[in-house]
Amino acid sequence: MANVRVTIDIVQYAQSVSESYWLPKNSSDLSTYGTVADRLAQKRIKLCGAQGYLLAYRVSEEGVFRDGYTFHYPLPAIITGGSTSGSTSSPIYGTSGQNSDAIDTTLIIRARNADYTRWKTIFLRGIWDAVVDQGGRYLTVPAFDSLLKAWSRQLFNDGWGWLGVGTRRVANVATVTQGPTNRPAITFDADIFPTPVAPVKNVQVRFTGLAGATQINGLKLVTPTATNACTLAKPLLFFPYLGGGRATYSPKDTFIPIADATSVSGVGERKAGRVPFVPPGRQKVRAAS
Amino acid sequence: MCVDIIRTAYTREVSFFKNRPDIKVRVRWYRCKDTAKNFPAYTRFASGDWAYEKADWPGVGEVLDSKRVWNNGATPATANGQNFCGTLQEFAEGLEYPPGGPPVLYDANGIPTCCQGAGPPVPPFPPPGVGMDFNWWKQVSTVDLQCWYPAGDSRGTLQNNVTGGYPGLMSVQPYFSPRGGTLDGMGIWLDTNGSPGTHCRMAMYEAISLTDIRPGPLLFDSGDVLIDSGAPRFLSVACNIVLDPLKLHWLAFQTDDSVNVCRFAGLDYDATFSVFGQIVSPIDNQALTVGNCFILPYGPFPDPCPSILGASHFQDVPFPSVVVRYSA
Repeated sequence: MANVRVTIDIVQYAQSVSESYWLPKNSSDLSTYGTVADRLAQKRIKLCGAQGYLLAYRVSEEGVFRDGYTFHYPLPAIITGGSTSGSTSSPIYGTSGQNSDAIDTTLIIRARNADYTRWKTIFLRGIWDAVVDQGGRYLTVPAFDSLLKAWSRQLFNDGWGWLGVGTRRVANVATVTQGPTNRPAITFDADIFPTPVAPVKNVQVRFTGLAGATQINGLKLVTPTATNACTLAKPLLFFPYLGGGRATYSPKDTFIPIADATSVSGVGERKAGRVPFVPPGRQKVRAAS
Repeated sequence: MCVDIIRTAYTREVSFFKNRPDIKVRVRWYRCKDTAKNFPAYTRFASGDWAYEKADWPGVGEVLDSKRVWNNGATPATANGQNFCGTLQEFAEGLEYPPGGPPVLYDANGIPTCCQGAGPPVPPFPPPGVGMDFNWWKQVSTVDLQCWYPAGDSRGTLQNNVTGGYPGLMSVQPYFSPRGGTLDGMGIWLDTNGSPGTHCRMAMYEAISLTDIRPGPLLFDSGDVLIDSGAPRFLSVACNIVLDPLKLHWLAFQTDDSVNVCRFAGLDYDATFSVFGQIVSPIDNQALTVGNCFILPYGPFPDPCPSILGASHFQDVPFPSVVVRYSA
């Protein structure tokens, strides 16, 4: 079943972060996902301090790649010089009265499914300053905790999830030969890739235990050529293959609903990006800051 | 219009025609103006920068094999972002070749004139809802936001009746705008001229807090507005009120004359705002009475608003309703 990806973009201290969440696709009109996306974004932005605000969300279908329905929230007057953009509403800020932490500071959340069998790490950038102490440890702040629970509840109530590995396919390596343009050609003793193989897309396969041609071991990008064969995506010189080895193909193509996302496992740091540009006024602000 | 968000501008070839993938057009991404509107629907012509796979992009849209060339993203002067050319279906599925309809006209900046407001308007009820401002939906059968809205009405009686103003009383009515918005006008209908030199005042209060929805801080006071001439006419004042989407707001009115003014579709005088489930009786101390009148000498509105819980300040009279307008 096709899935829909919703990306929420948050700006804080003139930098921005994007977070993606997934839903099963049950409508051909992706703009209909705007309501749930907005609901989640409203909950999510409250985990930011007053310096954070929502920039936009975009909805796209997995596998189409350059499609989307984008809703751009109104910008703060400091950015636009007083005008609003894209809507007549006010900008949507984080929690007032709370300072934001640096945008790189990341709350590491362990989300899980309903039966505790699948886990997903969610990196939340754009959080309150008050929940991280000087030593970089997470502090439990009741007000933040309740907002975190509200966000988690929204994830559960609206059926959000992530894409994880559904079926892990494993096969033994049968042959390794030098293929065209110095790309190793590998065959397996069983089918590992789904049919149809075409259109050809590169996928990642983990090789282990190959004797001789040990350069192939590890996570490699390959081009499937049949359900039981592939070539490495890049040329590779290798020693003669002596035997053994196993290949594991673990496509992340299965939707896993989130049951809970309130377990904070720590604080980390992840680099934020530049602000996706929309108004020229933003550049002035960045230059001034 | 705002079609997508990207971190840097570029040009890339795009395939627009479902039946002619061989026809590719180089497209330049550039910044929207601050006042540009959101593109109201799903499109296959969004940015490929968000694609997590760069292996195969089937169908219409950006062409993967095309060279992606950096661009400074400068906005053409006439790219106002108020409209789009074509249909929503074409954006969602791609175009047929040869394209139908009249030829597209371009201005000196290379921007189609149909994108600038002169072309097909944004459909009044786009695919919806979705992501659209709540206020947008209040414009029943109208074409833009700039129409006038009264306070809520839970009783549905006596609407649009003309009623007299009550000197020495201040009325406040709840105004519910769950998605916020910016108000640029506030007004009232003047049915009959008041006595020479008489006035009215209009104001907006914000609720005390998220949970205490009684009127609290004063957001706007129109000051004196003369009501002694020109009737019948619509009286309006400019304002710039940014509504907190999480709070209830209150429209207030007072006059120093018993001039007749129209109540529009405002509250009945003893109603409660049922959205919040209060008890209907206006004299029940357990209930928050809305549609309140205060005994208050005419003059600047008090800040904050006096307490209105219970019957102590309630006057059993009908009162005029102030209306507000959103900025477009």
